[in-house]
Amino acid sequence: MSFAIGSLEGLPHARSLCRHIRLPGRRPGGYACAMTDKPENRRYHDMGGLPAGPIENEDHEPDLWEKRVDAMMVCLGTSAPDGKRLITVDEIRRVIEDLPPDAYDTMSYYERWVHSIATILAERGVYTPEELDAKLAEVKARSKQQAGEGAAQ
Amino acid sequence: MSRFAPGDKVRVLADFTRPGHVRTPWYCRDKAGVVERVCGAFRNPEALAYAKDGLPELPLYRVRFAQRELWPDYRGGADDVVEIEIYEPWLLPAEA
Repeated sequence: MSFAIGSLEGLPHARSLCRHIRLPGRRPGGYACAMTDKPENRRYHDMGGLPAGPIENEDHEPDLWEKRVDAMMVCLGTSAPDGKRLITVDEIRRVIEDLPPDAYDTMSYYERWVHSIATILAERGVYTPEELDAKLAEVKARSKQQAGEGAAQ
Repeated sequence: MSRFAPGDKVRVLADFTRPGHVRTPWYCRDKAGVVERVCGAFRNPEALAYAKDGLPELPLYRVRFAQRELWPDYRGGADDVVEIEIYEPWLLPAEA
């Protein structure tokens, strides 16, 4: 689906604002698994016990767009009066787990959420990928126009 | 009804190829542990992940593993453990 990762372009500064919550790089020094370990079958996200390097414990203030993604997820995951909801956390995880290793390592926490939400809503028919692409183009054009007006003042 | 009770010895399925969304970590599969508590019954996340209703609810257990059972070259204390919450279909009874 064309909107998967590229859709982040619609979010101003998404890439630069959240790079500090990336996963640390893999480093040697973890524990070996037992005889049953068959690395070729292990899915990439299922990394418990693998070398991962130091953990970054620094807090950071969430950016506005990250708060919006969080709020959107809460709304989509809350049941309507009829008991139905548009997204479960299990679906969110499933889509994130299906990311290719490169994307899994380089996307930030909320970038992965946005990717997952966008995918699930398309799966559930809330919008078509074409509709999402059109909306993103519209938002992008608006941001560009606003930036232009800001520069002119 | 839950199949296991606190104190029961269990072994996690040696299933390393199950496709799709799986909530049982790779590193505890085919490992032996002890049921620490029954957490209750919950919808199956392996079905919820694909927009299914996840019913019937499955018993969920907190299982305690010795770190040395999980990692043969573990360098910490012999008493160190890790507890993992695992759904009933992933567990088999283990010999005492």
